[in-house]
Amino acid sequence: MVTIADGRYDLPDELYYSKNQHVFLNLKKKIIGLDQIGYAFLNNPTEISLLVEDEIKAGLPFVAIASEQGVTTLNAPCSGKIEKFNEKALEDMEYDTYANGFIIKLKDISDIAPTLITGENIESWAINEAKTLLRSNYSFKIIEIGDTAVGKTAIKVRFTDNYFKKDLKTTLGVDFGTKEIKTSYLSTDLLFSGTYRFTARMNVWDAAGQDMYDKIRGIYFKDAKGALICYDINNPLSFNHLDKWVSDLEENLGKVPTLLIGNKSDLERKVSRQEGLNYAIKHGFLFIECSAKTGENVDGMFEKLAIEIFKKEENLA
Amino acid sequence: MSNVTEDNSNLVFNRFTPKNLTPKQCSFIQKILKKYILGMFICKKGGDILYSYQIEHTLKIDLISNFIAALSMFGEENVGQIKRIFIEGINIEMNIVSKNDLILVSLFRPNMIKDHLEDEAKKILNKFYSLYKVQIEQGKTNLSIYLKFDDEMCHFILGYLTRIGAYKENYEELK
Ligand SMILES: Nc1nc2c(ncn2[C@@H]2O[C@H](COP(=O)(O)OP(=O)(O)OP(=O)(O)O)[C@@H](O)[C@H]2O)c(=O)[nH]1
Ligand SMILES: [Mg+2]
Repeated sequence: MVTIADGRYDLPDELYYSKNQHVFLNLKKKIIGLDQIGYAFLNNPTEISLLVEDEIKAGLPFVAIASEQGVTTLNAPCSGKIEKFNEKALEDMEYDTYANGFIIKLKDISDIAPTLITGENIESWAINEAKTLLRSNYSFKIIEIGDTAVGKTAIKVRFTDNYFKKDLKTTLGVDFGTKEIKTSYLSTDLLFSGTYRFTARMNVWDAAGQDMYDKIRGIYFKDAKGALICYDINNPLSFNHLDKWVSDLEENLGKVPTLLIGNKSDLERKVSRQEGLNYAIKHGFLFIECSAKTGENVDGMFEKLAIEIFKKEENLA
Repeated sequence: MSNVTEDNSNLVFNRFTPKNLTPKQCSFIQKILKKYILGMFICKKGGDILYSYQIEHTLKIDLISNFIAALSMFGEENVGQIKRIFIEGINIEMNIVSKNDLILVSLFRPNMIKDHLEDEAKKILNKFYSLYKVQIEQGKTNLSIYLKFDDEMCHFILGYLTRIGAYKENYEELK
């Protein structure tokens, strides 16, 4: 059995499959049907009808299936005389396509199409096929840390609600914000080049920066997939304290995709861009300067981080 | 599923395919549920929702899950102790069960029968964990992985309604 896409699709490896249509052929039981990926492609099929009388011919259409998307005709993976057409195939296809959800049973089999695949060839083909099918809908928890007053809450509010509040109160404990973003990643990988589109719900946990929270802050890191480490480009002290935040992060989460943020780019600069960039490079972080006040770069940086996490999650690095 | 054509955009079974139900039974159960249940979700201890269905769409369950996760972080015992939260004003009660690094929260109207609720919630959580142990432990948060749990939920909901007597009793009226 070949199981792919985190357990979503099973393809028995003793069966033969037509590459484009996902029609399977079971030589032992002499049955033909649609594999689980093919079924998923159909998207709520409503009706099935046989297009031939009592015989199928390899490569020619033999059955039509109506669904929300229109009518799909399937081509026969071999030739042979029909013993039985399963009119109730659609009822069982979703859960039991390889047994009770078969489409036709044959008396005899001849002319098996040479393009069918089986055995060890199934896995890589199926993985690739499933990629276009999968709804990629992620939930990413992000932990946001840095000295008090660098603007963590302001950044979070700008991201989730797109406004800037001048007189924010210091955060007590932790604050949350959540927003769904749609984005895509262009992979140039030789095997799976192409664009991966996905949506990510970003659950931003904005941890209080004041020293008095140093002891309890660690618990908020739980299950976070990525981090934002923030400093204020107008406040060199907040930049000098970065080591503390980096070790806090590594202690609690190990290595996760991390974005170093120089906030308040609307104010007079006291930390140079190059210093920030060097620090990020040294630790393998992404780097960006932004302003929660003007909104500059805020949406873009969350997207950047989401893509990094996505790559890690799907082993696309 | 294909027979329930009336506005099913916010009914409990909108994603479910209850195999053993007639369309009539199905829409009947939807009506009962809609009266009491507002939604349900399973999230990680860290707050990310893995599986949810929502009937009352004005509820921001993504924020609620993070909030409950944060509460639970002050020690395992605490969320164990907070079994139910009643939010005054909006007339909502929440039932919270947590195990195996997962939290299950059900949101419902206070007038719902709460017998066996704890029990059933634990069963659901156990089932979820046993089905997706590997993916959960790998920290996978691609929600489409967990969508198939709809099938199990459908069974649990039916079982629960039967257990509290809501299903059988009213089913007679239906005929
Ligand atoms: N000019 C300017 N001011 C900002 C910017 N971002 C935040 N501020 C101000 O900086 C102050 C502190 O911002 P907060 O977001 O509360 O800081 P914080 O990092 O959350 O602080 P703690 O909650 O104490 O950890 C507030 O007065 C904000 O209005 C920015 O981009 N530009
Ligand atoms: Mg704050």
